[in-house]
Amino acid sequence: MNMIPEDDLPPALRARMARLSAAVATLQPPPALEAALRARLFAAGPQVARPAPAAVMRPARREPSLTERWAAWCAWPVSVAAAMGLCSWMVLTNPAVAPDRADLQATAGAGSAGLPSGETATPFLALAAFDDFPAGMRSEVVAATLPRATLAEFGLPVSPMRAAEPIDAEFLVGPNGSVLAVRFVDDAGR
Amino acid sequence: MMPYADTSPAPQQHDAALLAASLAGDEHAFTALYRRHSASVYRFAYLWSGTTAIAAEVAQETFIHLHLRGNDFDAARGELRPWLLGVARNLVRRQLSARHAETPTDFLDENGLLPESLAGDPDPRSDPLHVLLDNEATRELHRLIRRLPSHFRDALVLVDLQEHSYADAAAICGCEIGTIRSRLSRARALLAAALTAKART
Repeated sequence: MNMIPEDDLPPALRARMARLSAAVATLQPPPALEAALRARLFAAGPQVARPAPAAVMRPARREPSLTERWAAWCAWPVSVAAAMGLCSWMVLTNPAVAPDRADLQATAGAGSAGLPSGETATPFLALAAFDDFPAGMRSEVVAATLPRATLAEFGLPVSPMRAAEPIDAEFLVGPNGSVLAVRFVDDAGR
Repeated sequence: MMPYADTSPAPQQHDAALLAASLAGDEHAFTALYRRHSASVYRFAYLWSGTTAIAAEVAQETFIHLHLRGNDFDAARGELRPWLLGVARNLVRRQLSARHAETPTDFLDENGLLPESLAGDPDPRSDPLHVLLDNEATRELHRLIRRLPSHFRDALVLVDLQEHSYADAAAICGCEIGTIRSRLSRARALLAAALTAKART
């Protein structure tokens, strides 16, 4: 028996519900129902195979095999790893994110000749007028390290994510000490 | 004398034992279970649906389900009656949706007559008009209960009208006891508001 709080149920409603409850409490199922059920269920003798009615039965679940269980366990990690790999590949090959190496490689050609493997370089970019390059002029190559942002000053793209990293440069210096040209060398191992 | 014919609960075999015998093909055990629980199932379906035809059909299907799928019942998880009422609850919902009759409009049975048992015990000293009004008030109350949202109707029918415990009602509806409490409170409030609005008109 449940206690019904007075403040939860108005007295008039409480009385009406009690009348309804009392009235319904006298209801009985039709007498013929019992006989009909017994005739339906037991007339043919005990039933061994009992198909459930579709209205209320739950579909039988087949026990998964060991292979199916293993596949189910591995499916998520494999999917996650594949998704991460795909994302990494898309990021690393996107020029908007990592343009330096691709562009340096694109612009490298004859400039890379003589460099150790794994290094790419731009061609020498002139910093002085051609008049300052006399035929047979002796010059020296001076290596230096510059901020990678310097690439932008020469119209080469720079990834904002790597702007703070240094990049190797080689300056072509004339006999009078004037800087004639520069090329940028990118070490793939860095 | 037919065994298991006694319908009083105390000295009888436990439901689980009767069910085991019934599932083994014992017709008398099935009959005993039917006599013990069919009225409760029938009344629940009647209160929920408002028609004796649906109530009888639901009672029949519930006991067919017991006969065919009784092995699904786990005595360790509760009594048989809440389990049967849970089956009946699903069946009566399906019946109503199948018939597009979510709210039968009257308290009358399929013959258009108020069942005698629902007329109550009129006081002979009362005048006929009072009895008529009282019956009309009861019919109106039942009509409003059947218009409650189904979750609220479950709680009200099971707890307030059939006096099941909160725990049993929760087991029948497959929810927490706290959920039953809140649904019941909401159902009572809706019902009281509906009756007040009806009285003003």
